[in-house]
Amino acid sequence: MKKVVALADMNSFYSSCHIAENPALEGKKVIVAGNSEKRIGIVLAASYPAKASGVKTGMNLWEAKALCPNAIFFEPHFSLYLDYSCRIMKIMKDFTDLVEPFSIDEAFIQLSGITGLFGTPPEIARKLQNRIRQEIGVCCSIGIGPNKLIAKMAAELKKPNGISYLETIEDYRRVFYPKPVRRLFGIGPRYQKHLRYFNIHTIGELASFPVEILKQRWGKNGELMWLYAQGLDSSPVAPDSLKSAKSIGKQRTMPRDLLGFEKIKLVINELSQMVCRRARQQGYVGKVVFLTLRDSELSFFGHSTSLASHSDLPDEVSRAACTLLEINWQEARPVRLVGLALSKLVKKEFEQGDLFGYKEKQIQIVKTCDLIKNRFGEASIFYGASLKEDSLHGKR
Amino acid sequence: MKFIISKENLQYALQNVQRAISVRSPMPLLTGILFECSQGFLKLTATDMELSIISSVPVEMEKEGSIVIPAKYIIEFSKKLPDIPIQFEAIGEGKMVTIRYGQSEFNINGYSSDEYPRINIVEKGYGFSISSEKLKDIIRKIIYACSNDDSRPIFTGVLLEINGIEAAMVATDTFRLAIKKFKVENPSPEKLNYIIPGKALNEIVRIMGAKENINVFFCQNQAVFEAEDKMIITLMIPGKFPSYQQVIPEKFNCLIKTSIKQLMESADRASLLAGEKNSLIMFNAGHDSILINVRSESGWIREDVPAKVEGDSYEILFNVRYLWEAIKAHDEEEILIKLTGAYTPALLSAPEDDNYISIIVPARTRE
Repeated sequence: MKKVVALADMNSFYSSCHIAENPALEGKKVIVAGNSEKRIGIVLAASYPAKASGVKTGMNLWEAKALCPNAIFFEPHFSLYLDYSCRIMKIMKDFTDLVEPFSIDEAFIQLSGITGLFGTPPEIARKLQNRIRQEIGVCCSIGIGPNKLIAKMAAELKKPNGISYLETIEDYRRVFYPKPVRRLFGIGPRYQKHLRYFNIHTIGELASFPVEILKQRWGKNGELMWLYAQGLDSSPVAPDSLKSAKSIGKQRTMPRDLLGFEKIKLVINELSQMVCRRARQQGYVGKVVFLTLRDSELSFFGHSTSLASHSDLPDEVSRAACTLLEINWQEARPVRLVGLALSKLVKKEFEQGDLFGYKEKQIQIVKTCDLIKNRFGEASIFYGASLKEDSLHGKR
Repeated sequence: MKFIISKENLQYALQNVQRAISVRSPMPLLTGILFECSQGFLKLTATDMELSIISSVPVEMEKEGSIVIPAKYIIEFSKKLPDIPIQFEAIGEGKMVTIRYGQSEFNINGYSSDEYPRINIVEKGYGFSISSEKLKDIIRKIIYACSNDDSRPIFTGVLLEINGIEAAMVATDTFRLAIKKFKVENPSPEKLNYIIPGKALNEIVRIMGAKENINVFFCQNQAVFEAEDKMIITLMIPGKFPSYQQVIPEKFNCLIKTSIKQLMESADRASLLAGEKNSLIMFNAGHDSILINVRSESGWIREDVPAKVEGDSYEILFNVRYLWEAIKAHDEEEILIKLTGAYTPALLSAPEDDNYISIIVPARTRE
């Protein structure tokens, strides 16, 4: 059976969510940006009427205000977007289980296999588009192609609310070869600039360029870029791809500078508790501990170390992080921000036993605390040290 | 200081001491090697203030003296020298050294040796002597169980216990443990316990020759290993080693006897799949084999190793690396694996020898 994949991309997703919440805003200039009171922040999304006046994503807030003084501004409201996103994914899953969320407002859907149930690929796309519009109130553009890459690029062709169908790789080549190389998935302004030195301006020129030279210059990425230019991509629609986390981290900016290892270690300890609790909730154990510190001049410091074995126990993580601190930080240097991350995560499948019962004891403590927290909330139990002055407790 | 040395001798001495250099020391002096020439010998010393190594080689001496030469240059440079007699001469009040080889010369700034920390061996305490062959074998059998985790220093060391003529070396990282018992010729006056850094023991294995006599002695917080032309001095790790005797299982429900070679080969193949997660399932099925099973996202493997199995049948989860390293350190043909249960420590030993045992703690599946 021939593979058919669709990518549904929600149009101006953040602003669309606010419009869906309040239909009276339909057709108005709606802009989602950072704090509008303080006039800081950048534009995260803009409705199509606002875009028509020249507002672009990533623009400074004051620029957007100058272009559309009477637009309606919203501060970002991520839990709202997440709720919308989940509801949209749910509709997609009514069609097939093979849905791969690609970001908060995009998802791949494998259409081959469900054409017998719902009709031709464009018919399915139309049905999906209508349902999302009627039930959620958000428009989307859908691209359909023989693989994920082409689907993704086809979705960019007609916005908003369009459906673009590139049935074969030849269709893709016909449409995209004359287009600027910047339109290729994965090519940013930097690559565009470097490719210009090779006299590559269009996707077609990149596709016919000798791959060896690209490989020499960019290695694996060079080859991938070349394959993409040809419209070749064999990656499957993987429903769980976003479920496997790569790292779990927490960071906190202190209301005032922390001075001295004792105070910093307290915060490291508390961050380890939070990070490890989240790892346990998601069933992960991690091998690498990453410590980030920032001093009052805001210069960064980041260092990592490997644990002896994968772990989700706060004592082990915090001990490793404290060792990093002692080796790499001068005690007299004040700390403004502390961040801790656990990475190289794998699903926890077993627990390595130990001879002298050190670990067993920790596991019991952690398990009991987890049970109490699950029932009475995160703040229901904590270490006595968290009552000290510079603790994060009560500020989390 | 002025002397002539062969390339071979120079390289030999440099290689002996190089691991004790503290490459990233804030004290520039410690990133160097102390060259001391007297009585027809060149003595090289390197130290990181915890571990010190000294190595002597014969030279054709013209003038006594000493200087500290930056390790980075001298080690790399010695490798690139031609194989001819090489002359060293300290110049400029002992702060620079000229190295002449044939018609060419190399000049390098060094440091005056006056400030180089001297290694004082105070009050020679109890000691014994042992052949390098025997000592290296003992170390090799237990060192794999040492921990690399600096946050718990005790476990980066090896416990040396001496009581009369009975001695034992014990290493553990809390997940596995290895004990090798041996006898010393010189009985200790009382029960003695020392924790020697694993790093120092690794150096013994690396630099001590096959047939040397090693004098081991202790003074305050130092352990000294002295051979004819070299010496390793290390600070010992303070603290108390956990009471390992308590965790050695005594009663067993299952005995497995199998060929080390076959088990190692199987574990090695299976470890390919275990990869990142280090998992390995081993269970004894029936009476005549051990099954090793590994399942990962990439596939699965089943290895069937012939064995003599007596007693209950268990399904046990071992970290493949722990199992493999423990088996590898045994050098008999057969190994005896004694089990106490699916989640309790397993004991490995040679069939008729209880002077060397290793213990591995299995993993538990996630409830």
